[in-house]
Amino acid sequence: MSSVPATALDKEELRRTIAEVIDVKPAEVGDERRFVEDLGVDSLMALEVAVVLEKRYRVKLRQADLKHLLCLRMVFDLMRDKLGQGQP
Amino acid sequence: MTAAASPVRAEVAVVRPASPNGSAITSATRFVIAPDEQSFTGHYPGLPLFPGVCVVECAHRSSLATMPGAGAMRLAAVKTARFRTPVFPGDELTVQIDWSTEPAGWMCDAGIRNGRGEVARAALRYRNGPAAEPPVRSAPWPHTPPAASTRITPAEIQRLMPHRYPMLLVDQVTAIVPGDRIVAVKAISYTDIWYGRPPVDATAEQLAFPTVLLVESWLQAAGLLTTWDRPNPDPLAGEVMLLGGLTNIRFHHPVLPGDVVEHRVRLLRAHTDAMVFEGESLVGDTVTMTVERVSMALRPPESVIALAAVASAA
Repeated sequence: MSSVPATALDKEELRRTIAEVIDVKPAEVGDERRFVEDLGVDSLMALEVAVVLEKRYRVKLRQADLKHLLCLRMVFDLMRDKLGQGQP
Repeated sequence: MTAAASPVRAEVAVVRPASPNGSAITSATRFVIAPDEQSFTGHYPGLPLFPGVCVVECAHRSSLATMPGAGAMRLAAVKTARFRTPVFPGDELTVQIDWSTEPAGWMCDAGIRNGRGEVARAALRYRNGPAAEPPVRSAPWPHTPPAASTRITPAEIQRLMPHRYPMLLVDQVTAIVPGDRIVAVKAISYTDIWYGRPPVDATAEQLAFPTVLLVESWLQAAGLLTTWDRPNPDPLAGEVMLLGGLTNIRFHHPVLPGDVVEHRVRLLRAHTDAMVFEGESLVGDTVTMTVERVSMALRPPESVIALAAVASAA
């Protein structure tokens, strides 16, 4: 898997990445759609999402970070923090 | 031509050969998983579950039986597989395939159902051309742990894991760093049960070790990494290890009798009841299989026994 430089956090790419891991179409991953309740993600897929995010974005996710992986918007915010890209 | 060796005895019944269906090409098959499947004896005693890799084998055999177009195709990769619920003795499986073309081959997108719903999905990539790709040489594994001071043999392996003959597919653990990585080996023999009694003129293709069992063997090495610190020899008394998903498992080179396969597994992340692994398998310094990602779950036996009761009542 290729990783992306820290300068480029693209929400659409993040959407596609997550959709692939949780086995749904990217269009189904709405910004606020909850992975577990709305998209049927189980604990195993959630763990895989964490693994893929770590590899692709070269970040380290702590156990405490995982409870922020509830929907795309929250993942995006978390990754932006991890990559040190605050609001412009 | 005699078919290649397979861990699944059930015959594939073609329900619909590959044919246009709207703008798509689809096909369909059916299997009856009889209680005398070889794998049930050892997977597991007292709790027979059809191995997840055997569900993939059903998708693979369906592909070979209904492949559109001509020409020999080989399984190049399991792009993805997701396992939703176990398959039990007596289940009837239907396999629905959507075909799409790929450079030099086909992609098979298979949905596998039993009488109660979807059990798994698998996307398999096929390529035409030679059985082996140009050899991939393994770089020294950055994660190679120190060699175990004593070899871990099948008796010890069976004190850690519930897998039994003929589904115990790891012969030795040669190195381990608990909670992190493991190296285990499986020697392939002409007298392996999976070959049955091969004809004297069996081709290399017929003697290739079944691809899905190579995956299963690697998975068992991963399982040993998990059970090292919490032995789980009896699923009825402990936990049931279930396959969750396979992502991008690529097959570079067939494995033949006489080969000693070395599995290298690294634990990427673990939670209480779930874990994710990566790794590869080699023969000598030639890579035969690469594993991008595998997930496994531990479930309480009561939940699986409840599903089995529903299955046998049906």
